[in-house]
Amino acid sequence: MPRILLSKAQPGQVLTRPVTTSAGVVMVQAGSPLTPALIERLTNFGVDTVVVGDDAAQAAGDTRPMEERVREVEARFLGHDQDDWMMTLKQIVIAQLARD
Amino acid sequence: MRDRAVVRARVEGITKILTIPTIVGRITTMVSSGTVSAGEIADEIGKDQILAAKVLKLVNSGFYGFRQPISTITHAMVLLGNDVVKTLVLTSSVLDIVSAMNEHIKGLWEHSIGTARLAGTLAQKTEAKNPEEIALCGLLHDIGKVIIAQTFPEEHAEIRRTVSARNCLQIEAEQAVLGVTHPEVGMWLLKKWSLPASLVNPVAYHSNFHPRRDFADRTAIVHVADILCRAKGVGYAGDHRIPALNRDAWAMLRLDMDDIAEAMANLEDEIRSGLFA
Ligand SMILES: [Fe+2]
Repeated sequence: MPRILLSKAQPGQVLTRPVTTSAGVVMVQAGSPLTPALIERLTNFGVDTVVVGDDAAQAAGDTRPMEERVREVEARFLGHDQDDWMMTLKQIVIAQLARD
Repeated sequence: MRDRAVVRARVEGITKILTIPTIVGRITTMVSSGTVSAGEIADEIGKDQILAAKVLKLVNSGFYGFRQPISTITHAMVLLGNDVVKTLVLTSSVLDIVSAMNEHIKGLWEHSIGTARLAGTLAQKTEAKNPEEIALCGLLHDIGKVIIAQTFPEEHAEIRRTVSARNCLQIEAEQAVLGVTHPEVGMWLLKKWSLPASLVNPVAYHSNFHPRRDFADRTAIVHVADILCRAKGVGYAGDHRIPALNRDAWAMLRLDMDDIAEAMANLEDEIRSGLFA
């Protein structure tokens, strides 16, 4: 996964690492496709390099195994097992993990 | 540090430093008075070029999803109306203040933006009036957490330790350590800024909903948006738990779970196209 100069980045390439501020705050998540507008915004923001790949599938925002990500969601819903609404919400969250 | 009056006095001390610019107050008053023309308001905003630029940047960001590009304040006023522009002026200065959030709780900024976007989406789905203002309530809802961190650094550290030791909600740790909680602290700050109850109440009661309070409809939206944002794992609100859903708040929205799934999928798309950029 190469780190390249933002000025060399092409629309359609996908970020394989998030773009963060110097303080480590995520500005754009990994998995985001570069668009001309996003490249311009990042340029204006003073970002000089990005890490990209061409394959959207391998550039998934979260590269951890799916079981681990589901476990993390389960942990978040601790204490809500008896609440139908919350359990439906949990299913929505888990279903959307697969979209990455 | 359990004396509420002492806590409040210290919070109000810091709110003297943490202020919104006087021009924002002036514009808010001009719009609310209803007797000032759109042209006069545009002129007033135009006097502060930095403010005008910030408002236009916000209008054209992905934050609201207005369709066509808007290039001047006058154009924005024609297209969006005075009240929306007033909210944008306020939002742009609040954004400056809350963007420092992550210095204290890493991820709180993303939690606030995520909650704001979800609140805006839910507001549209429920056909509530002033969705931009409801999004602003979402942006502000946890501002009390920043105030606590800035005003009471020792208690803030103790709150952090309590959250990790007990794996509880931050609000429970605040109650145990400080005796007051962030919605109340946020309310003190916003009242100090002389913001109206339509903005203060949703912040003050997002964790303690009651259907008969003023502005319960927007408070319900912020309450649910906060839960959705945490469920989705966007940002970090200071703990790894999700607060319980208030049934009355949910009933007030008259939405179904398909609406919720859509709102959450939207948020994900918005993040990918650079919501936090
Ligand atoms: Fe909160």
